[in-house]
Amino acid sequence: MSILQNMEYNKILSSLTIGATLASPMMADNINYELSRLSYKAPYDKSINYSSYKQSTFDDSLLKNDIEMIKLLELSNIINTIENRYDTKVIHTWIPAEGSLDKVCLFVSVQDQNDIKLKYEDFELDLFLTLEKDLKQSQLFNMIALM
Amino acid sequence: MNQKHLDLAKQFNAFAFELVSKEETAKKNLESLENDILFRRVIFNKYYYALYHKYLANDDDLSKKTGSSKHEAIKQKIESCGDRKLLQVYSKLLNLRIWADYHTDNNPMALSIGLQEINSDVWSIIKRSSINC
Repeated sequence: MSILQNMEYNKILSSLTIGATLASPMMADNINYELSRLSYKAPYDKSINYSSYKQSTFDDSLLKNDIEMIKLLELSNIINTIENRYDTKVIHTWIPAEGSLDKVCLFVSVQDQNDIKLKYEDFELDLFLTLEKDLKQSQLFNMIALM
Repeated sequence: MNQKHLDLAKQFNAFAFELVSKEETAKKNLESLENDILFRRVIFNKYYYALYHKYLANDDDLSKKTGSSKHEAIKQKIESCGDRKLLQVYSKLLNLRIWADYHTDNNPMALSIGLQEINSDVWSIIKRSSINC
């Protein structure tokens, strides 16, 4: 494995670890489970020959097509942003149209949601504006909404 | 302004609102609506179509087209017009409607969706004199 590949792999693992640590207990459990599952799925420093790939693992590697991995990363980032911005915890997530649209709406509920709502004229819209840039760059999500 | 679409938008909105505001009575009188998840599916569907027809009432070109591509076309037009609140409400209901009509999982998260908030958001759009997209 090249140095560049190593760096990107480590970057992904760091993001996931940070995300899982900061996420709500329920999400953290889910993410840890998924990570453990994926680690069995991709023992890629042993069985995958990268010689035919470009230097970056983001260009052509199996990771790019691994929707579950991308979903975990993006969920972690979104959850971290919400928790840091509003000083709360994301307690539930739901993706009702998962698998039916190219990009989907992520529904979240947060701790003390009703109290936070009182602080904003439109908390749900504020959430969208806060994450608008991330959602534009997202491969899976194009909207955020409250449950 | 296409009056037929506008009327339908108001009717769907009124129907969904009546179910939300008289949930207990509706469930008592209609055995089929006793199922909480089914109740939500019906409401998400009707609120979505209220918005769908409200948009079409303002877009003659799109309203004349046929086929299912209108849903995505509406979303793209709303995206490009920059009305973020409208985009949020439409996208939210589009996703809920897809779950309601096509997904067989009875995810309990559906019961956590705030119906009063949806009602208030949809009504704020239905009562607009026009949609500038």
